[in-house]
Amino acid sequence: MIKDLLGKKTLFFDGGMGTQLQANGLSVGAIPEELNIDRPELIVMIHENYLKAGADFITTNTFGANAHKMSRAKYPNTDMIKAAVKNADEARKNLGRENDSFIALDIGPIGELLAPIGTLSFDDAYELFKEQIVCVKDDIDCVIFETFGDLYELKAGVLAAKENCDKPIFVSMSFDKSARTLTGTNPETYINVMEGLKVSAIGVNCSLGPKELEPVIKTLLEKSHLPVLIQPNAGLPTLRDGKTVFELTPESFIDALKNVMNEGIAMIGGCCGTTPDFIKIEKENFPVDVKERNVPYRTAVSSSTTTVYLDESVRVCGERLNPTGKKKLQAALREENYEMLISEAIAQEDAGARVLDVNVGLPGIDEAAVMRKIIPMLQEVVSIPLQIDSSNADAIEAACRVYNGKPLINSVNGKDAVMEAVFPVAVKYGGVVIGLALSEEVPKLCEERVAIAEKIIKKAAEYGLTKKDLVIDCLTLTVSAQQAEAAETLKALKVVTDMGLSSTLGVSNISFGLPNRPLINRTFLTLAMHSGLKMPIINPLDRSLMDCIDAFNVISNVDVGCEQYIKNQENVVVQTVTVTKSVSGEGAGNGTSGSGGTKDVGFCIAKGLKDEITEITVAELEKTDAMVLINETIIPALNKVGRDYDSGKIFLPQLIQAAETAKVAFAEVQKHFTVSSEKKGPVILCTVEGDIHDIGKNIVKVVCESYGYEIIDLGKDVPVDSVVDAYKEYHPKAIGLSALMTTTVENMKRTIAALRANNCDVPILVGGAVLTDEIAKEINADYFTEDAMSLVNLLKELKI
Amino acid sequence: MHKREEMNDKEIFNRIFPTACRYMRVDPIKVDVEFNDKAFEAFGMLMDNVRFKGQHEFMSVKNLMGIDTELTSQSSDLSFYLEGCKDVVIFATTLGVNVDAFSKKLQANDMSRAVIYDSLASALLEFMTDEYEESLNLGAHTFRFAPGYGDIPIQLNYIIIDALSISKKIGIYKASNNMMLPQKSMITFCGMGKEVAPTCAHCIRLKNCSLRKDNLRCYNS
Repeated sequence: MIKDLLGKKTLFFDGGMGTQLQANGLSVGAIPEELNIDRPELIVMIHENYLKAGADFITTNTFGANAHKMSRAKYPNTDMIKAAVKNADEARKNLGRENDSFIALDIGPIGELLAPIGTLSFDDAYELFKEQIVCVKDDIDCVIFETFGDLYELKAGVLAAKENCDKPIFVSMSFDKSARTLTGTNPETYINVMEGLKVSAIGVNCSLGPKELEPVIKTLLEKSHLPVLIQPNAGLPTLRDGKTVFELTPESFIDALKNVMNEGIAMIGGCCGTTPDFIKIEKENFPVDVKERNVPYRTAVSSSTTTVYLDESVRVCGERLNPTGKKKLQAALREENYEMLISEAIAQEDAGARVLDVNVGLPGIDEAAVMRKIIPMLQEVVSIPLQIDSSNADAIEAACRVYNGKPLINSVNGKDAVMEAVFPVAVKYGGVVIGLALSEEVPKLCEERVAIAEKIIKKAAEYGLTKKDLVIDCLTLTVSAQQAEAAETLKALKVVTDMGLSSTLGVSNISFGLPNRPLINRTFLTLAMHSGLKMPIINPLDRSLMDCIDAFNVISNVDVGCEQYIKNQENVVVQTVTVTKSVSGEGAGNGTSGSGGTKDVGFCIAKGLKDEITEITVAELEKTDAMVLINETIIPALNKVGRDYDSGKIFLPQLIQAAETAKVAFAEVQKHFTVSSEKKGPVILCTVEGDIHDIGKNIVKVVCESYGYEIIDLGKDVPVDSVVDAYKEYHPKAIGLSALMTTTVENMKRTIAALRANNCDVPILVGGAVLTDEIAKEINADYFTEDAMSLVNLLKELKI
Repeated sequence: MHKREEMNDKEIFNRIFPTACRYMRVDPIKVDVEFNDKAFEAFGMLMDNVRFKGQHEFMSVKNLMGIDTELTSQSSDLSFYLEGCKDVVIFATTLGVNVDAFSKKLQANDMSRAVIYDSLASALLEFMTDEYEESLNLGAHTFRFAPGYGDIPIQLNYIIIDALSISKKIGIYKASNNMMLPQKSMITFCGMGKEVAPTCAHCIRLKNCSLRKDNLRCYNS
């Protein structure tokens, strides 16, 4: 059995299959998997040669055998997979090796990127992998996912294998010279995520030769607790006599492995360019027994590209993606308008958050469905790990399934029912769990909180989760109501830190109900960090709190040389704040002068001064009626910008800057409107089916919104039916369709035809680089607009 | 060694800026200092995210035409461009997925900068592909053309991606409707053995090209 040997005796994989097939006549563009049926004797021969050379594992000739890649093949992909396994089995039987060799079902990448970067959905990828596994699951000894460049795709494959097959799962990714995969994953992140998913072995293959792969191999050996498998190429490809060959011989290949050969590699094989001779020389040189490695365990969470360790220095978790007490965010969630969450996420990352809390819990909202949508959207724009914050176990599971990386799960508490609902999700998807020291009653004393933490640790162990998979929240109670308990929180922090646990706290709870909350917050934060707090959950845009962390890192010798502190603080102007006592309780005053200046709203719009417009608009609204400001300043300023653009005095980026500035002004002015204020439109915008270019459409959206139009943005690659459904649901005043490619103009035509067939009687406007007036007429659109300003002018003309 | 490696960021920026301006329909001569600075800042962000990868393969014209006869036989332009050539070199180049990811982030908060960034990225891809081509010292060869030019079927991109294992080697993937991801990627061909300059003759925009109206050409940026 594999598990009896894995990690104990060095095992040998086979070498390159493609190289062998090309040597035996496989031409460029031909489908190798077809040979499983067309030339089974060739495949059997190749397997036999590797077995004779000493291989313990033979990988089936099924690298590209997913239904998408095999769409042009002569045979159904499952037939080719079954034939491949049969050939492998025949080879080992021919040599009497059926009891001491293993068939590894070889699964390579699908060849398409997963959404949100690409167009293949996670669920579709899962199904493609599942299909490849299920048809042969009882006839193989293990599954190996090889040559993967995308961690998310690999996760889909691993889940498909875990949930449909009970055989060991080996994973192997490809890295380039910068020690990152094609989609930017580094080895630590790869290890953290795959160990969380509980694969049986982890490795690296392809792209590079053994020397170039050495840094990645060393990281795997130093940081992974799993058996390590490596299958380098036979060096780098080089052109010789007009043909591409790999530079290394078996001797130079083994020589290039000398630094890592005795360091605990569990399985060794070869990839492109390697032959049975390479396996033979590995067999002759690698040690029989696998050297034991002592790798420390860490508390770490990951996105697809970044791993954050929660057990070393202080790491901020941004708290702002939480609708509690935030009316605008609540409204945005209810309207499924996620732009606000995207902006908040980016702002928090830019302000220094290393993890982001994501909470979408609101009455009446399908939390699981929203999590499934919002998690990929957020991960598309931020690179830091996310903290999935919910009291709904289904929502936590939905989020963890689509999460790309290893998430932080907020949270469990001391109640058995909660732990029993959440711990299995953490085990299934590999998450770190926050344990809140709270049970049926709110604990007051340190000892009570520590007792709950110990209960959580004990329960977690029943699921195979260790202390390193937990982060303890010692509970922040508000001092205005429970003053003595603040000290108990700090005591409990110290105790859990001494127990070897990582900790977190929702810091700002401490000051609820008190004046000058920032003062209490930063004082408590400093004391908590001194007591061992590692992950404060705060608003990273609150500079005073972030400054505390900078200062703490200097004093505690974490920021050695004060580098980070100097970088963040050197431009800060220190002002003396005079605190005055006031009978009315107005508190401290500020000695600084006001902003002053002669810039007005119109000037700011013309110059695109997005950072200054809010303050200036607020000042103007103190002396000018909101409607007057809109009609006599904002709109004329926008119109002048539009005229300057049309006449070539300014250009597109300046137009967009002005539009974005006007949008901010509008948002400020709208606060002064009563509920009855109306937006113009609505107008539906989308990029049509099959087209994923959306920057042009997004530009139009920004400009239209700056003119007060309500825009319903359906996104990109929007199926024809979805546009029709949106027309019926939203009753727009106009529909704008965008396409960038000649091939997708055909889909635009189909969309228009479908709308007409559904009695669409509103103007249909089209735009995009490949369109002209003539093409617009041909596809039965009502109007063609060349750019955003033309569209706005047309809407005005049409009195929309 | 690529010439690009000898150029500093400012020099590369100055080289690609006029092309990027053309994509934005901006006259590079008329831009002010503020716009220039903003563009250079966007260029810095772009360079932080670029992981350029290139792959090239030599093939006989016969093999290329045979790679999918149903597709290649549809195109008279493919035969036209490769007439007289025995071999062809296929390039695949990409700026990498991080460029796309950062563009998405910029679009969420700063559309104006996103437009500049996107245009610079397109120009940078052309520039880096030019440098990659030059580094190969190909001798006499035609200009670079691609599926989608004239009547060369764009579906050929997908066939080439699979045939040359491009996804695996440098991370260009198939997206829906014959598009490729990352967005700043291209697959192009050069016929070997003869010099052929680019021409508008077979372009789909021949009759309504805005550059031609101003007596400009896209290949002389």
